[in-house]
Amino acid sequence: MSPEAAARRPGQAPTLSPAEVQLVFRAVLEALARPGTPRQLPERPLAELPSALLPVLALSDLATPTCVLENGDRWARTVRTMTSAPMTGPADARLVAVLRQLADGEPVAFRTGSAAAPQDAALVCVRVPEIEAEPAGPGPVWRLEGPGVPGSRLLRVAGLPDGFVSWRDRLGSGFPTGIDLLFVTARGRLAGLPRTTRVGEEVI
Amino acid sequence: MGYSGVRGGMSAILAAEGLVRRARDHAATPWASTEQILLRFRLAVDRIMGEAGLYDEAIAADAFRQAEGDVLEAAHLVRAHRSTLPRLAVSEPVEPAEMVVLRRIVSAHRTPGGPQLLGRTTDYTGRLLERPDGPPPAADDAGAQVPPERTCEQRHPGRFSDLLRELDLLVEHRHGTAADPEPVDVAREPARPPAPRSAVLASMARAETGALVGLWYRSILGPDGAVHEVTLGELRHGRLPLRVIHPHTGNPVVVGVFRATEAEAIEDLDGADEDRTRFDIGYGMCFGHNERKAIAMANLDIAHRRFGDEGSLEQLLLLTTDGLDSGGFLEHLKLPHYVTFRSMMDRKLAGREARGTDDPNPRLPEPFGKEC
Repeated sequence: MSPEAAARRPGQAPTLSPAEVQLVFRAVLEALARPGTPRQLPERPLAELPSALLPVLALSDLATPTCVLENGDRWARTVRTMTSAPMTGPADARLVAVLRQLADGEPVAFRTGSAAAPQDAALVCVRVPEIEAEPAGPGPVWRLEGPGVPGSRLLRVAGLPDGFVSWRDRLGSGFPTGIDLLFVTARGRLAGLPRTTRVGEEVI
Repeated sequence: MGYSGVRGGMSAILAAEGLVRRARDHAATPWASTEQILLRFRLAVDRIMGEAGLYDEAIAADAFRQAEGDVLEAAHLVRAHRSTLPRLAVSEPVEPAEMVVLRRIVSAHRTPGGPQLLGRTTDYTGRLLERPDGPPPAADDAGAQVPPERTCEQRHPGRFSDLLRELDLLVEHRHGTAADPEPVDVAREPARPPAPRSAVLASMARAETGALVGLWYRSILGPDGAVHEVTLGELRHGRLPLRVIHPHTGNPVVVGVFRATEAEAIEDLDGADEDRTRFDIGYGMCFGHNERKAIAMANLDIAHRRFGDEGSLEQLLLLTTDGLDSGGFLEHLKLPHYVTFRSMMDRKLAGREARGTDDPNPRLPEPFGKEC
């Protein structure tokens, strides 16, 4: 048992320390500033919390409508208790953690903001089995271009439903509206895909 | 606005910052601990908490040390820190009647109901400079009387305004719960005129003390034509409990205690369309012990209620009293404005060139100040 876990009272939910919140914030900032370049989330909380929940737990407070897509409601209750964030459906949330497998065609409607307030759009953290930057092996791959990407960069994200890219493109067709995405592996590797990044699908 | 990007000069900037840090942190004198600042510079700490909008004595004391005693700069540091904190709960409304008073005076009435409790004050002390090089000898205190322990009743005195209300001498503003809208959070939405009273009160509670006192004095002296009688009703400094809803039980629980200063100003109504047989009350409250601010706030509250929609008072209160707003704009003048000024020079020179031609009425540059 970690020292943090041992220090908690019985029944108290696991959460992030202020220092860990800052590390998560920095990792999210870097990941979104340099799309497709993976970052590492702090390791200690990964033993107790799902990795894709960390950005939501670090960024939410009572002013951020938040949604956790999971089987059951265990982690939604944790977020609500530890941050006082109002829990909403995916269509109203500013912060979304997707902790379960997305089914084909499931990507639901998320908030895309408006031209006057694009910052109201959702930041969606999706748990994925693996992310690979500049992959060498053959297979489908994304070619990323846009701000924060000098030239272009290759990224492979496993475990997403078919049609994910065209779904994202549709959400971002009214730029500056759109959604920002984070892909997080179980070990805390984190890649960002902000709405400003153009994604081309290729096979190498 | 046009600033040249701050490029180059980085080593000079770092060296300047180094000078500040070395002189401040390694001065040849004992370190000023947080506790030292809390206990000896209490009023500065309270003022910083009020102007920053964050009640945390230790953080305000640390900011005071970092800012080398510059209260406005310290409030800036604390407000910047505050903006990084998650908002975990909204407190339940505070009931001022719950205040445990440390000081309570009613200068309008000898027997206001409950005691006149002077508390800790130098109001009646001559302003004579003392220059001791250490604490005075303990013998000086030996003859001093130990004040009797105050009873719970004395610590929760009645309110002078309630006395006036019983005598039917106050204009009634209470119209049930229907007229009790959610207060505006000025930390989230900048208040702009016309604004509800909650926004004006919140802006004043966070305002720079000097700016508020200056505006109050102006409203009293009357260059704006709204001269009014000033009577301070009640002034209190004391402790209040802070409650939030418990996330599991849903019941309010006390999570802390904070000190606040509260003032009620009595206004003699004399306007043509006012009830001249009654008084009205202005209200002020701010973090910590800051009587000047609370009194100015209470007076300005009633002035705003009476004259707010006539002149510029509301605009002045909302837009000019915030220390970070005004101080920040002033400080930014020290950043490089090379491009702005260069373009002004160019306009002057172009104007002179145009005047040199035969054109009897040359197009002169726009006056400065329209955009910056």
